Amino acid sequence: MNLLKSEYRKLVYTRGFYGYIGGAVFLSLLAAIPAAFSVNALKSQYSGTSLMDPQLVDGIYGKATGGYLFAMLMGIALMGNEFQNGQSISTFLATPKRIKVLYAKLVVAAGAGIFMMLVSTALGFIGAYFGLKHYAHAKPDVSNFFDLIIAAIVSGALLAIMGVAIGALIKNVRLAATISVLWLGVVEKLIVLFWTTGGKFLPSGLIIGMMNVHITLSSSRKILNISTGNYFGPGISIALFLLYAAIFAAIGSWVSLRRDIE
Amino acid sequence: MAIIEFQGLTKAYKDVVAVKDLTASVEAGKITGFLGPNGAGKSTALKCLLSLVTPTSGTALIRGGSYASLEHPMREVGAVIETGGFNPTVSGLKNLRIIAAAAGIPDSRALEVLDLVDLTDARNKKFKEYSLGMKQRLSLATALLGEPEILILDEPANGLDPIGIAWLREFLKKLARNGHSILISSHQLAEMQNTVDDVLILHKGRLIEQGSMAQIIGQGTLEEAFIRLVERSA
Repeated sequence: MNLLKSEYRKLVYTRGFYGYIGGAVFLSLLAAIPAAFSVNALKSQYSGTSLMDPQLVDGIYGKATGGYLFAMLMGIALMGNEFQNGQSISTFLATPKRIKVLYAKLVVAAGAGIFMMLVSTALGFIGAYFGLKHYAHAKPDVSNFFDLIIAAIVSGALLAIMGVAIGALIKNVRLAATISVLWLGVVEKLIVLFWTTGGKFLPSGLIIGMMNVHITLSSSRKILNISTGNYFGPGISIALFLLYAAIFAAIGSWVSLRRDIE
Repeated sequence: MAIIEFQGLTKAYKDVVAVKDLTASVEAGKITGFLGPNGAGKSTALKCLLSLVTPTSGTALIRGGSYASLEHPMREVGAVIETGGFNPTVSGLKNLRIIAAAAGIPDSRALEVLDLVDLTDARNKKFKEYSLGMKQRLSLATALLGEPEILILDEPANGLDPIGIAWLREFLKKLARNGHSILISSHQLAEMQNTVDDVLILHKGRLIEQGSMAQIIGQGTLEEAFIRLVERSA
């Protein structure tokens, strides 16, 4: 409990934490609010973009989870700042049993990631609701909201845990954050565009899988075809996400336990 | 009675040997100076002692065991390693509360130690706004959080002005009078001559002398003795 309290304080005493929450809310709103309008506007170019399709409406509400990147960045900062500021010295002097410190950090990061994602997803959901309000037939159902909450909780916790592990692997916080932003924000999108079936294995694809959204958008001009039709269902998505987080956490622990604190 | 023991301690980084076969001991109830020029291996040896760095071979023990094996390390050993170790965007008081929480020490103790090091008025200032002297004093406050009997201080006088150095000297002497055992590393030989009882002198990672201050300096100064010992070991 002592270590959890200490790690919690490290988080809430730092202004950056609130910045990450703000960033997650901003991204969620940015993803969710315009989605309804853009989908409606694209219906002439893509088949399957009608807001009459409940899966597509679910997909728009699913955009509310768009702030997940910040859960990972928060995890990176929580761990990376230890090394960047030399805080790791006082931390490990107070608790030389490093594995306990790492566990505490993972628990606090997971909790904070869940909190961040619940807040941003809830606000993104409201944003999507107002976006879709213009289209009378596009209403969310209760099961969709439940899937969304599960996706927010699981992705918030696990991405934050992966962030802690990345922070342990890469001591430079800026470098670790840049790599993560590029991966989640650019590389994953490119993979989805050019290798449609591979998307289901990526964190963003697993989040879509958890929400059980299966959409196929095909362009009449055959430029970009997007399909989440073959994505895993919620159970497999959660299991695979857990496996990724466990692998990252194991590697992060291995590195932390062996690293000299200079 | 030896309270700290180095037994054949060696730490190598790739091709560089920072500490080589260090065997020495520190007696209880005294101020022991761990002296040597920058790069002599003092900090590395202390980091091995505090389980921050893994030795290549040998051991560094406190009361017969490793620092990591102590049940309540901060209540037994207080350490200052460098002026870092704090979140720069958080106040001195909050930084202490973070560390106190990890060690299971009540928050009220943070205010007490800030008072001990004359930082009460600056408690709500961000760490990055502290002067170097204030940072050193905050590090000392951290070491005192758990009211430990043993203090291990790495270059605590670094960057202090003459008033700060005088304050530190009196502060350490007061702690020693109260029964604390203190191991203090420094490259400021003239200052250490006025502060410490026993001396360990390290040069290029090797221990070149160990004994009481009186034995080592004889009729001269610590600086003269140090130069003589370094030339002899070369």
